[in-house]
Amino acid sequence: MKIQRSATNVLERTSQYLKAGVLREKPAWFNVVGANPPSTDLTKKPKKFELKDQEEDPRNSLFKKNEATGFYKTSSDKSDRSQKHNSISRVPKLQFLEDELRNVFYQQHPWELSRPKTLIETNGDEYKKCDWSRMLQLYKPLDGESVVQRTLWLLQDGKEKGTNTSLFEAYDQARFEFYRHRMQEEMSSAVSKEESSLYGAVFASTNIEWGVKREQEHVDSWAKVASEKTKIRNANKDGKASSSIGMNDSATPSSSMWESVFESSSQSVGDTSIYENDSK
Amino acid sequence: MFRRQANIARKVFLSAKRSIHEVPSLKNEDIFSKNGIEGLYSPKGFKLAWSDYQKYLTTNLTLQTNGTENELRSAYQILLHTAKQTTEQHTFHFASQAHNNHLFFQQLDDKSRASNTRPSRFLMERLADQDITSMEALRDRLLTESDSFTGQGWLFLVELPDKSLKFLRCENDGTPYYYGKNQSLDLNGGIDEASYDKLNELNQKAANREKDFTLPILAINAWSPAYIEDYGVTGRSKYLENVWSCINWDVVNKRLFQL
Amino acid sequence: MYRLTSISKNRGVFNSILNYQRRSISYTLPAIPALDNLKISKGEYKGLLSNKAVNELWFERGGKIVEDLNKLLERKSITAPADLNELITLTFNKPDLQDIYTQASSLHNLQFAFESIRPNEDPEAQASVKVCDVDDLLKAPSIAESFPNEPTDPELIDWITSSFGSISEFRTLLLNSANSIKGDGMVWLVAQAAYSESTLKRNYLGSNNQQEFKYSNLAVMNTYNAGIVDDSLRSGQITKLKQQKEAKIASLRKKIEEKKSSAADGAVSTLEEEGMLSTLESDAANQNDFTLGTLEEAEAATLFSDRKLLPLLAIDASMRNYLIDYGIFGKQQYLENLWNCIDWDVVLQRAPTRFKKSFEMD
Repeated sequence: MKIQRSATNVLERTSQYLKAGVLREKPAWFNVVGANPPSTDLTKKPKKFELKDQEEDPRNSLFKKNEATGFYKTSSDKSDRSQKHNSISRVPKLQFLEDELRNVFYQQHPWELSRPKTLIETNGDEYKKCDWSRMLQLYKPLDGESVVQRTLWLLQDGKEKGTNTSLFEAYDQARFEFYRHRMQEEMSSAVSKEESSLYGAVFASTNIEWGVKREQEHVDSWAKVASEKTKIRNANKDGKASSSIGMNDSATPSSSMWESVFESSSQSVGDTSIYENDSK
Repeated sequence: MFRRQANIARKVFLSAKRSIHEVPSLKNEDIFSKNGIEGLYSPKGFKLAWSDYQKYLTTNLTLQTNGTENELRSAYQILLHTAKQTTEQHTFHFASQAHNNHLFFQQLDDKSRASNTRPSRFLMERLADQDITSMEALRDRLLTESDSFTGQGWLFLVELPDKSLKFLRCENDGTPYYYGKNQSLDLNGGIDEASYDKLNELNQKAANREKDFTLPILAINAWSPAYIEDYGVTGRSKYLENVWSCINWDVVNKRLFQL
Repeated sequence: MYRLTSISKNRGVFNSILNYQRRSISYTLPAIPALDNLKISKGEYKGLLSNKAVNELWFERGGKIVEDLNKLLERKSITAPADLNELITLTFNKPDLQDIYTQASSLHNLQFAFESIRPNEDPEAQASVKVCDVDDLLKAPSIAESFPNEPTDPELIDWITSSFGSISEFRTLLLNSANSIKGDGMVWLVAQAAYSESTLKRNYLGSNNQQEFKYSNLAVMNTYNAGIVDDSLRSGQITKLKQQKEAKIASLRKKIEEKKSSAADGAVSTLEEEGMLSTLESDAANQNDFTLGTLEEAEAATLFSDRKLLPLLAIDASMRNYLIDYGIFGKQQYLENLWNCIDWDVVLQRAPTRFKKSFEMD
């Protein structure tokens, strides 16, 4: 399809029409739009041609010596001949430094991803209330994102002060500050527990016990499924070995085993109401 | 008070608005911060014991609860939710202290006004069951108990489910709402058989998941920030005497009736 | 003034331990030259505390503890040993002398902490003694690897490094532990020896035998209120109480059986005792053999009972120490200043000879 850009050309085109006499009167908007032309071109640009990373015409590389190998290319190969019109109007990939920092951070600290994260936002503008000249924020929990934002602030700060902080240095500074805060919090938690138990506080179960108990519920239901699956697998093996007749009817369960497990457990657990509704 | 808190909680839940924990405002806060509490605090003393200390507690509470399920809860709700969690005791500390300190300051008033109030007859009748038959006896008991802490602590007059009253000593950041975190023992020195039995009893109760329906009606603050500015490091006895004369019994009486 | 007056019940027991004497000793506030000079000169404790704070923390609080201690000793007509440490060890296991123990160990801890530090003469240090505000709570922490006032003695450095990894890690651990204490409490650097590895078997009263212990590594620990460092005594107590209770149950059971077998006329009293037995047993029921013990119990059974701790350094993390000069938000600043005031010469003097294992476990 031809690229549509008439919306931005509307002024130019109208003035041509006026000159040519197609239009007799100036439209009411003409002067206004002339005085305030659209500041940005809203049309989608073909990536391959108008943005910087335009590929070279494959024909230009024919019959030229390849400096690296010393060979000549005499015919176009399959990729040169392939149809590439789709890639012309593809939206360019958005790239941000933040994303790269996030990737690096969570690659190095995979367990940070296992911390629960709230998705509720009041206005979505909590980030405006943050002051990244320090690590701790009142409107934001301490997490990987803090490291990213703090790194960017340190980088900018270094530029303004002319200290020439490298990205690597800024990231390390933010990271080590983050470690310090985490260490302090962990110590605070452990000491508070020790302190209160020396004043006679008692705890019915520890967090670890609680975690093991919760996990066990899932392990138990998984064990049922697993034993059933094992049975089926063994039955299939035996079936193959002895006879091939009726194998399919005997070995495939009628419904997903997880469903039946959850159905049976939902009555006792009570808070898996989604499954309850499905079964009724 | 608790009905009010429940209402607030409902409102907060409905609008689900994220925000940070702030210092609650007191009834006469403007006057107090300008003149102090007559007969108890100078303006500077009031600033440390209430404005600064409460700011310290709520800021820390915000830092600990930000982005967690405790974010929208009041200090009272947070202390209940974290009391049994072994890894959340630091959050519990800030919540419990913030709640206790608020409870304490709600019942304070200028000496001239506080001296016009009396514990209700109803309250004194209940106290008579504890062999406290006069105001003097109540005063002596209150001051003796609250000045006997080795370190920091709270003294509460609590109402038990059977409607009887009792004095409850809480070491450090102990809370009256849950027996497992009352912290009424000091195991830092020798342990006598009574404390050992008490500890066993608490463990047993916790293992049986027994519930606690105790509610405080009077709180006395024996933490350093409450007196160090005006009375010095060793001035706790003098401070406690002054606290006694600045208790607005109307507030305390209301707590008893409303519950 | 309103202190509880619990009257000692078994004074006789205590007196027999002490070889009852009629000579009365009263304690006095120990002399620490650095502090006494400040009282005369009315100067500041440089780089850490104002004169007012020193006066209140040491002279007033210390004086009050001494006064209360002497009063208690007099009231209970107890002749105390001249050495405060001995008094602490003697009173530790006696719950009815808890108030004496509390005052004695408070005094000991206070003195120990003030003796671990010296004024910081750095002219810039005094500027950091100031009231902090709420923003200091959120301040970005320093990530530096080296700090002023690190120990200089190579042997001490080596010992700290092999116990904690590095001086900086040790400093972080020490200050974080102190910062985490919410009420009253102290952080200690202690040298640790295992009883099982030492030539002498455990001996509670044998403070003169310290040299015989083989102190192999250093550790950081907290005590709260009037707690003391060598807490193997405390965990021993809980086991002792448990054993006492078990013995009580056993003896009751025996009595019942005897009575049952002897005559029928004992039926009434047997019933009574059976009731007692059942209440006692229900108390002990939650510690039956079917449940796996808690982590604390495991620690008490293995760790604490086999260690001897010798304090080298104490940091007082109680609120009163920083409230006067630094305000409620100033704990971190106070602790950093305190680090700069640590007198490593004193620590070195207190340190026992290090026992190096002939091979390393890792």
